[in-house]
Amino acid sequence: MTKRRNKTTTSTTTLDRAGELFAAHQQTIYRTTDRMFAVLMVVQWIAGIAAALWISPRTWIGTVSHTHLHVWAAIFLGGAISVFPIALAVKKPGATITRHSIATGQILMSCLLIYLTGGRIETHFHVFGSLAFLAFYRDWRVLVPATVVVAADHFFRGLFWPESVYGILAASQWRWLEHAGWVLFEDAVLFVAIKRSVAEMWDNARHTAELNNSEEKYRAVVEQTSEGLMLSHIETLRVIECNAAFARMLGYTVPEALMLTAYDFVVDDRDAIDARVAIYRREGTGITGERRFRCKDGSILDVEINMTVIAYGGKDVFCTIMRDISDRKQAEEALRQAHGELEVKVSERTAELEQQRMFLRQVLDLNPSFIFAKDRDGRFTLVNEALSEAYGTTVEGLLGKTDADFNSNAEQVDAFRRDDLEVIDGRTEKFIPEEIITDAAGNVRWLQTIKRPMLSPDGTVKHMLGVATDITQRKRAEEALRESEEMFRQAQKMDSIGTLAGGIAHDFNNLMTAVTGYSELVLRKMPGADPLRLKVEEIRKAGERAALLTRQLLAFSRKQMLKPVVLDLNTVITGMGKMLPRLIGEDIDLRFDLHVSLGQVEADPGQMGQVLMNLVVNARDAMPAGGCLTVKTENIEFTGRAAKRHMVLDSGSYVVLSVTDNGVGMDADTQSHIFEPFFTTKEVGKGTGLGLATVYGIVKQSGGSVWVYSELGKGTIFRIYLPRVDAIAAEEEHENAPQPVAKGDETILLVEDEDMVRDLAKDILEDYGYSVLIAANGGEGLRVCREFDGDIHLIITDVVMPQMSGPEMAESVQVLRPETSVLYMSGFTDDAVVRHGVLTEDMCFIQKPFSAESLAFKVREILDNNPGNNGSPAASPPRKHSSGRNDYGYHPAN
Amino acid sequence: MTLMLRRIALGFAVCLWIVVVCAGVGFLWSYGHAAGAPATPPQYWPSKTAIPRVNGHHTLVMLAHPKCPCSRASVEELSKLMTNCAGRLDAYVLFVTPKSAPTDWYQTDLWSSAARIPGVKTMLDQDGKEAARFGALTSGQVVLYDPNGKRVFSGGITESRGHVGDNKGRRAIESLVNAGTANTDNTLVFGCPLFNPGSECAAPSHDETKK
Repeated sequence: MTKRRNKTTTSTTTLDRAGELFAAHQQTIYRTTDRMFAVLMVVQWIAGIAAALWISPRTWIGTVSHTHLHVWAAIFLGGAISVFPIALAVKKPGATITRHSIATGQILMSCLLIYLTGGRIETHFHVFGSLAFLAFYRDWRVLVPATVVVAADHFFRGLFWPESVYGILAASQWRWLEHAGWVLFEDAVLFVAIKRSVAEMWDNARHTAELNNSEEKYRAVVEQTSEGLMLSHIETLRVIECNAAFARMLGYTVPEALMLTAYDFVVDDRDAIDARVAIYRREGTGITGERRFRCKDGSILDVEINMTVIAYGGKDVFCTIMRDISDRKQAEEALRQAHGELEVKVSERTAELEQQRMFLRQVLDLNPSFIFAKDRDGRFTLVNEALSEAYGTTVEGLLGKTDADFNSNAEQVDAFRRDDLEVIDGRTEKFIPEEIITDAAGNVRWLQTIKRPMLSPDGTVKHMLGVATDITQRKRAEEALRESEEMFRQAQKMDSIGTLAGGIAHDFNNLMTAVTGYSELVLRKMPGADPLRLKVEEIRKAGERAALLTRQLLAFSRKQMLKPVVLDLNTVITGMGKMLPRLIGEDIDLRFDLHVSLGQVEADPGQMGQVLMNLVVNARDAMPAGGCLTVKTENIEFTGRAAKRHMVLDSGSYVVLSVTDNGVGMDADTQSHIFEPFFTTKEVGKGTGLGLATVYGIVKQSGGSVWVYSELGKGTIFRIYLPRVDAIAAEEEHENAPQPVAKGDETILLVEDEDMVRDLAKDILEDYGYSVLIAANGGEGLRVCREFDGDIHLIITDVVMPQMSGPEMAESVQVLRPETSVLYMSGFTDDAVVRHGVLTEDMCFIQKPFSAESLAFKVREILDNNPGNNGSPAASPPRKHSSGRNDYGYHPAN
Repeated sequence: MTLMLRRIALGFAVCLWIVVVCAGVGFLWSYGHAAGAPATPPQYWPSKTAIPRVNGHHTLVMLAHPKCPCSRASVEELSKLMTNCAGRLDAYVLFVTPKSAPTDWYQTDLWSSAARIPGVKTMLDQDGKEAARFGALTSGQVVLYDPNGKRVFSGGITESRGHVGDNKGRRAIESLVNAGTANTDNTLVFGCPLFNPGSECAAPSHDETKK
C-alpha cells in the first residue's frame, strides 16, 4: 500500500513536473515566437514600405506627381498594425494578448501587403504563411483572431466592395465563406499539427520530467556522495563538470572548479601529466591510482582516483572519481613511520642480539673446551667450534646430529648417551673426571666433562648442557713429566754412577799411573832374560787393562777427551765394514741399510766407531744362535718436541744410526738398567758391563740421544740420534808412525801431591835426562820457583791439589818466570777440566795414567815447541775460574 | 489595482489599436475604390487616329500614363485578356506623354511590360493627342471596337486602383471578342489622371465616324 502510494506520489510528482516543464516550454515557445514575430513584423513593415516605394512610389496626374498613398499607407498603417504587437512582444512576451495581437496584426499586415502589391495572388500566400508562422505558437487559439480578421476582411469588403473581392457585383453574400473556408482548411491542418506538436511537447515534458526526476536522483547521489566526481575535457583537461565534493576537497567552489584544468591541481609536471593522459586516452577505462592534488590554499591532498573515458554530450570526456585518502595516507605514513621505527628498533635489537649472539658464539667458539647441548635423543642442539672441529665438521654440520654420526667408537658413544640420559632423566649434574673421545682424525682425546640438566620454561628437562675440557695435553704432559722424571732419575742415577766411576777412575788412574809407570821402568831396566820379566809384563798388562777400564768408566761418565769433527756416519760404518763381520761371526747375517744422502754430524769418529762396535757386539751377544743384524742410517726431522723413552729431542734435523737384531730381547726391567755401568746379563767373565754404558756416555757427550726398544724373544733395536749439521765432513787424518822419544837436559819442576805419581814422574823424567825439581803442592812449587836460581824450563803440575791448584800456581809463576812453560796432568780427562773452567783449551795437558814414553814425548814436544825455554811460555797463564760448581757433584778429594 | 489598471490600459490600447487599424484600412479601401474620370470615346473608330485598325478584328486601345503605378494592374489584366482572346483581338497601348516631358519619359517598366504582351503594340501618344481622340482621361482606360470599327466597350479592366484580379471589364471584353455579346459595355476606370488638371489635352477631340 505504501509502495503504491509512493508510486502514485512519484507519478503525480512527475506529472506536475511535466506540467511545469510543459508550461515552461510553452512559455518559452510563446516568448520565442513573440520575439520572432516582433522581428518579422518589423521586417514586414519595412518590406511593405519598400514594396510601396517600389511598386507605387508616386501617383501621377498628368505630368505632376506626388507620393503615392500606398507609401503613406505602408508607413503609417503598416506602423499602426505592427507597432502595437511589437510593443506587446517586447513588453509582455508570452502573454496571451500579445500573441493574439500579433496574430491579428500579422493577418492585417497580410491584407496590407496584398493591397500594396496590387492584390497579386502570390501575395495572398502571405496569409497562409502567416497562419503557418502563427502555428509556431503551438496554440491553436491564435488562429482564431487571424481567421476572424481574414473572414471579416472578406465579409466586409464583399459587403461594401464586392468587386474587389469577387470580381463581380452580384456575387453571393456567403462567398466570403469560401475564402474563409480555405483559411479554415489550413487552420484545420495547423490545428492538427499544433495538437500533435503539443502532444509531443507534453511527451517531451513528461520524459524530461522523468529524466529530470532520474537526473535529480542521480545528481542527488552525485552531489551528496563524499567522493569527488569530475568530468574533464579529453584534450585540454579542462574541468567540464564536477560535484560539490570535488570542489570542496580542493577548497574551491564549484564555479571556481569549473575554471580549472588538471594542470592546475595535479601535482606533477606537465609532461608527466600529458604522458599519463596519453595512456589514459589509449586505455580508456579502469585506470586507478593514487595521485597528489594541490588544493586552492596550496596544501597537498592525497587522493585515489578512478578514471574512465565516457561519452558526455556526444564527446568523449574523462570521468574521474576521486576519493580523499589523506587520512588513510596519514595513517599509512604513521604506520610506515611506526613500522620504520619498529624496524629500526628491531634492527637495533637484532643487531644487539646478533652482537650478543656473536659474543656468546665467540665465547663458545673461543673456548677450547667442548661446549654442547643435546636433547633426549642425543641430538646436538648447541655446539661450539672446538667440538665440531674435533668431530671434523662445522657447527652447522653437527647441529641435529648425534655422537654416533661422527664417532665410530660405539663404546664411547654408548657411554656418552648413558651419561646424557642420566643427567636429563635424573635432573642432576654429573661430573666425569676423565673420559675419552675419538676425534675425526682417529685420535683419542681425554676429556674432563661436566653435564648439567637444562630446565625448560615449563619446568621439564629436555636438554642437557655439557662442558668437556680436553685434558689430553695435560695427560700427555703428565705422562711426559712422569717419563721426564723417570729419565731425570735415570740421568741422576747415571750421573751419580758416572761421578762415582769418574772419582774412582781419578784415583785409580793415579794408582795405575804408578803401576804401569813403574812396570815400564822396571822392564826398561830389567834384563831381557830375567825370569821376573814375564811377571812384570803381566803387571804392566794388568795395569793397561785397568787403565782401559778406567777410560771406559770415564767415557761413560763423559769425562773423556773427545775430538769432534764433522763426519759422515756412513763413512765410519763403511770403514768398519770389514772388521764387523769378523767380530760377529758367520752365523749372524749382517745387513747395512745406509741412507745415500745421509746428513753430517759432529762427533769423534773414533768414539762413533766405538759406539757402533759396542752395539754390534751387544747385538751379537743377544743372538747366540745367530740371526739378523741390521745397521741402518737415515735422516729424520722432528717438527715438535719428541718425547720418547730414554730421550728428549728438540725439533730439528737428526741423523739416526739404528742397530737392530732379532735376538732374545729384553724385558722392561732389563731395559731400565742396560746403560748402567757394570750391568750385564752375560755370564761372569764375558762382559764388563761397560759396553752400553760407554755408548750412552759417548752419545750423550756428543749431544745425541739413545733410544731402545726391545721385546723378549723378538729382538732389540737401538737408535742413536745425533744432531745433523750443515757442514762438510772433514777428511780423515792419518797418524804418523810413532817416533823414538828424544831425551833432554832441561830443568823441570814437578808439582804433584800424590807421592807415587810424583816419584814415578821424577824417575821417568830423570831417566830421560832431565833435571827434576819436585814440590808436593802449589805453594811449595811457587816457593821452589822463587828460590831456585837456575832456569826452570818446564813446570809439570797436577791440576787439582789441596791449598793451591796447579793453574793458580802457574799464574803466579808466570809473574816470576814468564818464560817457563807449564804442562798440566790430571786423572780427570782434559775435557772435564777444560769444561769446568779449570784449564783452557790452549794449555798443555796429559791425562793420567800415562806411560813413560807418553810423558817423555809430551815434555819433549812442549820444550821443542818453545825452543827459547827462557822466555817463551808453552801456554798462557791459566784463566781464573771463580766457579766451583761441578754438575756431577765431583769434589776434589785432594 | 495596478494590475487592473494595466489590464484596462491594455484593453484600451487594444481597442484604440483596432480602431486606428480599422480606420486606416477603411480609408485605404476607399482610396482604392475611388474610380477615375470616365472616358467619352467616339462611337466609331476615329478616322484621324494614327492607330492602324484591321477590319475583321476587334481592336482594343488602352490609354495609359507611363508612370502610373495603378496601370501596372491594367497591363497585367490586358495580358490575361490577350491570352484569353487568342489572336482575335488587336490591342494597342498608348502611353500618353506630355510635350514637355523628356524624351525617355515614357520609357518605364510599364512600357516594357506592355510591349512584352503578345499581340499588343505599344505606342507613344505624344502630348495625348490619341487620348484626346479616344476621350480618355484616366490611365488604364480601355476602348474596344468591333471588327466593324464600332465601339463596343469602354472602361477599366481592374476592380480597384492597381488591384489585379477578376474584374467585369476584362470579362466583358473577353465575352465581346469571343462571343460578340457582353453584360456590360462600360466599367469604372481606376488609375492616375492622364492629364494635368485644366490641360487642353484633357478635352476630347474625337470625331464620330460611321462606318
